Amino acid sequence: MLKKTLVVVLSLLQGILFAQSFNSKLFSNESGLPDLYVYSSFQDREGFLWSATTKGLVRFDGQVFHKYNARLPEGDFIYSGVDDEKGTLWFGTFAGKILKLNKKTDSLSFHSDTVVGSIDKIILSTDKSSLYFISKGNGIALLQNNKLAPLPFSQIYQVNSSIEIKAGHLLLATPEGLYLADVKQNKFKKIKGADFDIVQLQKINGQQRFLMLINGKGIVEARLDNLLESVSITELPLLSAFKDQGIACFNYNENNNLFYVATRNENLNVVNTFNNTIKTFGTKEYQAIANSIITDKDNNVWISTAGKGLYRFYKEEFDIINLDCPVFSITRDNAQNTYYGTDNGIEITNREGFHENRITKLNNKTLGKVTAIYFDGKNLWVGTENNGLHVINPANSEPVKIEFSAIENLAINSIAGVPNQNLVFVSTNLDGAYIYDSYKLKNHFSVQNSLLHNNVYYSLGCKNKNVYYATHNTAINFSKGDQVYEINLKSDNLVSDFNNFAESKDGLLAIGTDGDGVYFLKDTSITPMAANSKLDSKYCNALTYDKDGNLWIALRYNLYKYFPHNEQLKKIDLGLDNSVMFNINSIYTDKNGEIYFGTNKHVIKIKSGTDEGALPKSYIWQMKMFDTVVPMLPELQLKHRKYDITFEYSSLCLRNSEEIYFRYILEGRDNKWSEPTHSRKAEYFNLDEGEYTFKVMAYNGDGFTSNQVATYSFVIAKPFWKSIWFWLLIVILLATLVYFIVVARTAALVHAKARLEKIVDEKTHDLRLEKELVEAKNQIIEEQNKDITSSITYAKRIQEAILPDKNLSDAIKSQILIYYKPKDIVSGDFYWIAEKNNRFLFAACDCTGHGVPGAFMSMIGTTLLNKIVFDNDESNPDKIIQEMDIEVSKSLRQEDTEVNDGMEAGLCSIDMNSAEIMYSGAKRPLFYYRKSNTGDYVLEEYKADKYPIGGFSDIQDKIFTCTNINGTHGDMAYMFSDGVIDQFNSVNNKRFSTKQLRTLLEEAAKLPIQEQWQLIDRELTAWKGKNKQTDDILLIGIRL
Amino acid sequence: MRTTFLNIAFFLFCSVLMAQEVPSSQENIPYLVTFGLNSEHSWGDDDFSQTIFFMIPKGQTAPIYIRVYDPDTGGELDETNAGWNTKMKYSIYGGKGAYTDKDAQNVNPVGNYKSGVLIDSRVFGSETSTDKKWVTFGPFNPVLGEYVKNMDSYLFKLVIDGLAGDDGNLYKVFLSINPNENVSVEGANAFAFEYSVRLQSVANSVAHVYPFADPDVASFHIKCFDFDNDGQIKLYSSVKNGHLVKTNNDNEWSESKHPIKPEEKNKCLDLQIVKKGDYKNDVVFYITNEYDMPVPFYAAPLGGVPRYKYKISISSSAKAQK
Repeated sequence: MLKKTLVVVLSLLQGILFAQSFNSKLFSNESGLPDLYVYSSFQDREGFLWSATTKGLVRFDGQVFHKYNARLPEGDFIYSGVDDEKGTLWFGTFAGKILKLNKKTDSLSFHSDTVVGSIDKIILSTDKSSLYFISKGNGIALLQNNKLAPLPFSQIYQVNSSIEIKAGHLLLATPEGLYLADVKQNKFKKIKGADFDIVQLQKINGQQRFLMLINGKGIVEARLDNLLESVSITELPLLSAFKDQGIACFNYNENNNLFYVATRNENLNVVNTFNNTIKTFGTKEYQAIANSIITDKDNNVWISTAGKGLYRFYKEEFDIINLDCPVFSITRDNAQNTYYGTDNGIEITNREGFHENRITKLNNKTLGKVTAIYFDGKNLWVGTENNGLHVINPANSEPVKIEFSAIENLAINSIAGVPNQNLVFVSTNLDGAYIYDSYKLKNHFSVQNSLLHNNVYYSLGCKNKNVYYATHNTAINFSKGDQVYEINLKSDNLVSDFNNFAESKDGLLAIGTDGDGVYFLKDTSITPMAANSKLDSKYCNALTYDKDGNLWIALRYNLYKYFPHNEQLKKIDLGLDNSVMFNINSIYTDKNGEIYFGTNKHVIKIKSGTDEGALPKSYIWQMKMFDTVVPMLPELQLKHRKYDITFEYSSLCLRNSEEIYFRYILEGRDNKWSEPTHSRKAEYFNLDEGEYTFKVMAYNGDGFTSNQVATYSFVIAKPFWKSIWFWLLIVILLATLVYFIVVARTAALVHAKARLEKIVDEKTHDLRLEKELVEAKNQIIEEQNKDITSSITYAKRIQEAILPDKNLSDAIKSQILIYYKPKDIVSGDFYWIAEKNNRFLFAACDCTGHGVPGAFMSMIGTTLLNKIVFDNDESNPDKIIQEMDIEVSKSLRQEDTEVNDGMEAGLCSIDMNSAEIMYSGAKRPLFYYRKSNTGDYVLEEYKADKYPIGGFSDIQDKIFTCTNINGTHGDMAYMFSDGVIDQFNSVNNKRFSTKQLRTLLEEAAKLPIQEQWQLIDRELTAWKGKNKQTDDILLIGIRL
Repeated sequence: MRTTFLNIAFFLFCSVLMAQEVPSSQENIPYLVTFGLNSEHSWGDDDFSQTIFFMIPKGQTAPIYIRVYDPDTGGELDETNAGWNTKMKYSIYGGKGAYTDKDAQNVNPVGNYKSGVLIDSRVFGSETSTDKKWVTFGPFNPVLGEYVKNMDSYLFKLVIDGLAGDDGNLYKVFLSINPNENVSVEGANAFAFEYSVRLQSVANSVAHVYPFADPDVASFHIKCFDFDNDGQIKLYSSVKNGHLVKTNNDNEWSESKHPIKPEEKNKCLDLQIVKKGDYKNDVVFYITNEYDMPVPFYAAPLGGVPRYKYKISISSSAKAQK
């Protein structure tokens, strides 16, 4: 049976069909590497690559080399490095110094201990507790608990390389062979079976397995026995090819089974142990002697070279599977064998990529061009251009019975299916589409049952149970159950055929056309791909979604990747020449997401999808203020001013970093994120007070980001005058100021008070003294006044004594009014009354001055009147006055002295019987009130002579006149001093005046003498009020 | 003091120094020789070790390579003794102390003669892959050498030790700027304080060794080992015209004292070994001054190859006097 059904196996070809593509790049001075001598490199836990060069240590993020200054003496430089479990970075120098990176300050500091010789490598122990510092010429030193201790045994031999094969057990590669050091026990022994000059060791997975680079022998695999006594060596024939070239160093990446072997003839060889292929790079891609090779987390290989810089290699995301023939269809079976439909049957490769088989016939039929091939989970469906459809068991090529119907000899365009539903869709060239369910024909759709065209390029069963048919028509057919439906694209421009479909995870159907690009169908809504215009051709030969949801579009000559999330289209550079053309619907996506495209020459296998770890991570690595780098301290507080700040950021992505773009925002200043930019710095000018947070995100060339946001926050302080504390301070200062002013003023007042008190006291004292003095003087004065007053009072008595009223008869007294008010105790006014020869004489005199001088003058006047009247017996008033004038002048010797005193006087002589009156006056008139018949008194006013008695006078010859008046009994005659009329009142300070006196006396004359006195006194007292008495007052009257 | 004058001399002649082959073609010595540790000294090696210094001018920034011809001990060229069993270790030192350490400037491998930082080291046995081939060490950044200020050069030290075995390793070395061919480094030079060499197996052939006389040296004490009385050794300079150096027989040391005149100072002298027989002969030379301090042999003689200046006295003949 096998012979019948099988088909012919032409040969078991063992040739490898893969042609792996590698990307290489050299980083040199132009890239920012400070020196071309790179001694070693390692990747830290964050993902940065650290490289030690002669001119300094650098940290590389994929784009920017950041140099660190270790401040080493000339001739010394960092040689090796490693990061420990805590992420602390340790470095060793050529001269044996140990340095540590302080991540907070981003600066290197020296460890107190040093190693003798160069530190060629640093190894973190497997228990992460200690570090081994390997010096090729001086053994190993152990750093534990921050104390460095050399391992004595290691100094016996030159240690070319070392690995910790298990905790505390170091394998030492020496020129004399392999040694095992038990660090804890401090024991050292030679391992049997490795008596070679061993240059390099690399630990690999598996118990006590490792690789050895042996001088002159190449790279071998070794395994220590359980007793750690001997080693068994397995030759690696493929790698022995380089031993004659001299292997400088190597690195093996178990993730992708790739050995990178650098030889001393400046070649780099990549050996794939999965399929035993070797690819050698020289001259164009690589030309250097390597110092070390490492593989980073993203499978990039970094080669530190002597004098050429730093190389990066990585395997491209696509491989060429070279079958030397066109491939029209592709599928894989459960055993990971891959089937390629060619123009002459089927080519089969095994999982390693080796060519396994070739099928050119089935059921004794030559297959010819295999246009469609599909593995349904059990069996293989094979569709041909001219020889119908075949279904076989891939394990033994036995045919599987299916209901072929007429399809058996039809030209098949494509075969697709839904494996978990046992559905298979066969699209034919001339007879529409066939749907098989569990190998039984379920439906056949053709123009006879509403399919628009019988030439169906592709049929696709979708999640919504619809089966879509790409036909030679401008509308899309789909079937649901037994019915066929039509979707009109309603696009005037769409005139071409449909070639293929691909359904996304969320049910969006991508439609590839033959001349109009790509369209999308959701439910019944069809829209063209926004980026159609960017396609260099509109002929879509194959379509598929990858596991990231991105759409791969194979045009005739180019491959594109479309990113629905940002509607960006990226052309994939495969480095193919123009003669390579993608075949229609020759596409397959395996379980790993790898996509196979069949072309007219070979197969292109693409690793689709993006590893999360490979997405760029942004970080801010430097901040500048006014073009000066400042440390990015946490919780940075800046003093107030306007700042120009530049943030320099980058991304951590060691591959395709040149495609990375950024978006950033300065919260507190910007309202929205920046537009995408490839620039790695953001400048801000005149930043004023406020709280700011700078954020930056990195996106890879496809627009994907790790969503990691690098942030840095800082604060620019408010101006001090806007701060609460400032105002608080102002208040406090004001309060303090007020307080001090108050205190100062109080103190000043107190001081002034004290000073004043002192002054007052002094003045008081002085005053007291003066008071005492004054009091004493007052007392003296008082006593003197008392004496004077007493004297004056006594003089008054004398004056009163000489007044004439005592000598008058009562009858006369009753007829005479005497209103006499001295201003002081004694008076300058005086009156004189005498009876002589039956004549009654009376005089009213007003001496100059008042008080004592007046009194003196009154004494003189009285004395003179008495002398003239009685001694000289003169009765005529004019004579009396004339005589007095003379006598006064004589008495006061006024002709010889300056004494100018004198007196005014009025003198009447009344005949008691006839009532005849003789009047003479010196400046004092006579008011004579004559009683009329009506009883009223009429004033007869007799003027006095106009010169006084005594005193200076311009008149040389004073002649006093005498006026005779015929009086009548009952009439009243008044004479008075000027003190009466000169009295001021207290109301308006007016004189009493002669006028008022005339009126007063007119009233008084009517009254008895006593009442007259009372009236006059009352009126004058009322007139005076509170005023002092102006002058001595004398009013004398006589009733005839 | 010695290095000071080395420096002076170096500056004087560095512009013409281009030969970093040891032994150089000017020396007419085919190979250096180092025997395995288990060999007999009488075979021509007193200490089974050889040290060579390379001076790289400070201005050299391109990488340098140290190439060894026939580093293995096996094949046609080397001296076997009942089967190949010898391992030879080539170690290159740079960094601080590689040259300036006192023990580095000694004729015997004692004390800290492997001073400095070990940069590279390889062990060769009797493998055929390297037989009669140049093997390259490096590339080395010149700054890995020890910078000696008064020489204004970086110095590398190559130490060849016979680790084991009893065979003789014949080899020569070259300081090159190319890993694949011998291209000398401009301005560089090489020197050693002791030579263990294989002489030409040709009768009357003349080998040259160029010891440097610094201004302070008063006399050369030329020591020779295991010459087997295979000819004569003569010392030449501008004032010495073949002063005979004391020679010796098998496994013997000889020493002779040769005063140095002022005209000879600051220059290299020419120690010529005139071979008598046509058989192989491995010998050891070194020279010390009057204080027993070793004198360097330069691969390229400083001041050029010395020539004896004959004194020509001119006087009138008797006939003419008449």
